[in-house]
Amino acid sequence: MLPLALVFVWQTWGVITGNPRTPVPTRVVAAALQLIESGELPLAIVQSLGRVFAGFAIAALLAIPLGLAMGSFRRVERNVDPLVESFRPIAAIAILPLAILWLGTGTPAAVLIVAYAAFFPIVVNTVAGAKRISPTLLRAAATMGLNRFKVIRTVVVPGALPSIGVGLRIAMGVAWTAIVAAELAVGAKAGGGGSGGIGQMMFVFYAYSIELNRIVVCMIAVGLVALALDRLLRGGLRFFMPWMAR
Amino acid sequence: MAISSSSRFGTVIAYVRTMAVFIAVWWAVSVWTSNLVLLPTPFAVIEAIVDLARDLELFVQAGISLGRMMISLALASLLAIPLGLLMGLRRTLDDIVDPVIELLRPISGIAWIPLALFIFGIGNALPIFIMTYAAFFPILLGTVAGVRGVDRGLIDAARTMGVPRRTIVTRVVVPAALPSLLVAVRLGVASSWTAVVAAELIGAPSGLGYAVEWYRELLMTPQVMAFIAMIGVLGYLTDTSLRALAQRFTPWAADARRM
Amino acid sequence: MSEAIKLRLENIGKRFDVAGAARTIAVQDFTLDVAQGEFLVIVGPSGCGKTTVLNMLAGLELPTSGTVSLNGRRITGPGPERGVMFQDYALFPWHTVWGNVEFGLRHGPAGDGLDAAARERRVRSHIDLVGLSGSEGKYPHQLSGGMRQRVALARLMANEPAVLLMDEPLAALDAQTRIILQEELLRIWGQDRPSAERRTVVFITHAIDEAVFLADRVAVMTTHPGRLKAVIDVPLPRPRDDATRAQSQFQALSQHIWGLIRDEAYRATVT
Ligand SMILES: Nc1ncnc2c1ncn2[C@@H]1O[C@H](COP(=O)(O)OP(=O)(O)OP(=O)(O)O)[C@@H](O)[C@H]1O
Ligand SMILES: [Mg+2]
Repeated sequence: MLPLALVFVWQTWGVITGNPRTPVPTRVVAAALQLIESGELPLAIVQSLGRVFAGFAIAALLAIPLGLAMGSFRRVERNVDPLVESFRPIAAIAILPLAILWLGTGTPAAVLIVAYAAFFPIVVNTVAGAKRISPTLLRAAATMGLNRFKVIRTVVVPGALPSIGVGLRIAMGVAWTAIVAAELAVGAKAGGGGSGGIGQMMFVFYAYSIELNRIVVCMIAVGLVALALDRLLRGGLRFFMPWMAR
Repeated sequence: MAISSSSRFGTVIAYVRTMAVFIAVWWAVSVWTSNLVLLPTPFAVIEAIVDLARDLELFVQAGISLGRMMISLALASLLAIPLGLLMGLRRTLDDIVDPVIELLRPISGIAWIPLALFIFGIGNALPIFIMTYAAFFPILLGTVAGVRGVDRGLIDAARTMGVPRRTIVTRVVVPAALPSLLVAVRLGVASSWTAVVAAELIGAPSGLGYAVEWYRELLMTPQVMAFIAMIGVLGYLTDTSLRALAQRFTPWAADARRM
Repeated sequence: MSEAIKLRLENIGKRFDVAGAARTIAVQDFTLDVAQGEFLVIVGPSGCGKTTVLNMLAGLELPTSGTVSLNGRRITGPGPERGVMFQDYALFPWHTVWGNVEFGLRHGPAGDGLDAAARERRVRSHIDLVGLSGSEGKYPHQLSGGMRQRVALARLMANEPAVLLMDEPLAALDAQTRIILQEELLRIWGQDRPSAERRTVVFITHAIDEAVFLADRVAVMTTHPGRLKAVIDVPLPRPRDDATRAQSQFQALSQHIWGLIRDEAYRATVT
């Protein structure tokens, strides 16, 4: 109810007070149709999603094995945890200037930022999941004659999976935010000559044409993609963990 | 507690050892690549930190960013906590407001930057708006969850004792929801601290994010790294002090803090 | 005929040092031999150290003094020849009933030399044995306490270990199922066969009638610290069945054991 009412208020208020460029729902919808029809918006989203998936995959491939090792072997945790805890508080966007310096303003820098952002939630949750496994389950496996590595594969991995799933979901949200930020910043600093993606598209609309309606379309698209990514991941995780209640 | 203090000592040793190895590797790689713009040596970075600290520039920029964060945190709390309390207490209000929240929440604070740039221009208002927005949702959701999680039995007990509604809220609901509220504030701060860098990088004439970008354009990488380190240190310190604060105000809630 | 000694506990002591708390002496001066093919039952009040003794036999805990050995070899860790049924079942929440029963055969040495068909037959027969056919596809959180216990029992049996270490395996069952499974257990153990072909069992229970019904010998423990108070022979003839419970000797033995632990049980309850 309230969302509809707000949309209505926004529309009337915008039409009465604003000039023809003020974003109001009808103009936003028109701009959205235009951007979709021309293929600009889908292309930008696909570009951004490609970077997110690449960075996310890199992060997961590094973070899950590392987290499992840290959660299973005290020595590994002791020696690696200081590095994780030292870099975790540094926001991924802060690394962006370095990434640009090292990799330029193209896709590799964006992928690096995403991987960096996604890495920490996955590691932290994997470690927590591996450590929270009930000790009797580990004991049960040991009494059936499984060695340490087999126990990790057959007990620690499935036992930590729910927690890893939580980490992946958080990481996906963070990764999507990071790609928008990275593309925005690249757009802002490298001008229009950057490498595309939804974030850069927004910046171009701001800097070169002040297309406010189009900016709002992009914002809505950012929100919708974030929702879709979370749903997708949640569905996937539920599929892989049928034993979880609910 | 002999065991825990000796293991804490071991942790410190492990920390020093690991960081020493890290810095040694960094040094070796930087000497090998010998490109001071791409990868300065650790010592160049330390030198930059010392210089920037002596000029006070490091602290000035940090102070600006921290100040913005404080203002944003205050604004976000002022908006989100009362709203969260009301939403937690009144189902009907929650049913009305929640859809709007769920519509806005997926749009990250950073996605607001272009529109906010147009509205506020470059200056203090932009980062404060973005950070307030970023902190708002975690605090709101945490407050609602905290109020929802209050044991009904406690409220009923107070009601059977004839305590008036307003007093029940201030003396039962708020204290019982406090632990999760403090966790929510911590999450909000973390989220706004991430946003500050992006906001300052793009749309502010000062602050840590701005400084990082400024020195990158000058290709003064040691200074870039110095400010990045400052961002990490301040992020860590705010989180640690908020934890300590929570420990002081809600010593009974050990679980909530471990998150 | 002198029977070969299978398990040996010699002057076992077990102390737990907990940071910030007083240390607990869980077990002290515990000496006991369990023969090949013997069914030994341990009874004693709650907290007297029964689980601790069993864990040391399993190799999950090491004694702080004394030695535990199997066939003359010192036990330093868990091994597949000693199967354990845990007091809290230790079922894997991510496996179905079938997956839990299959676990040791699939991932452990118990399944070496079994092809997929043989493994499936083994799992099938043990699920049937504990009366869970039809529930193979359920996850532990979908089972009642008694059903979980039966899954744990089936999993233990499916691995066919030479030594069965069972911690209150029937405690969560209703009285009827319990009586049926007691007889089943004796059958699986091999009460119709000569003792050389039987498995060796160490079984913990709180129920005295259960102890007398199952055991060759009953070890009675006392608490604080956990010590062996007495070892009672149960010369009731085998195979045992419902008629056994009606014998006067059965009643007399139960009374005798109850007399040994009654005072402590009262004390433990009142304080
Ligand atoms: N890991 C441990 N750390 C500290 N104390 C322990 C530990 N395990 C057992 N204890 C203590 O050792 C004593 C014996 O415990 P145990 O679990 O063996 O008793 P139990 O006879 O199996 O009791 P129940 O019949 O209730 O299962 C108890 O006082 C218990 O508190
Ligand atoms: Mg026990």
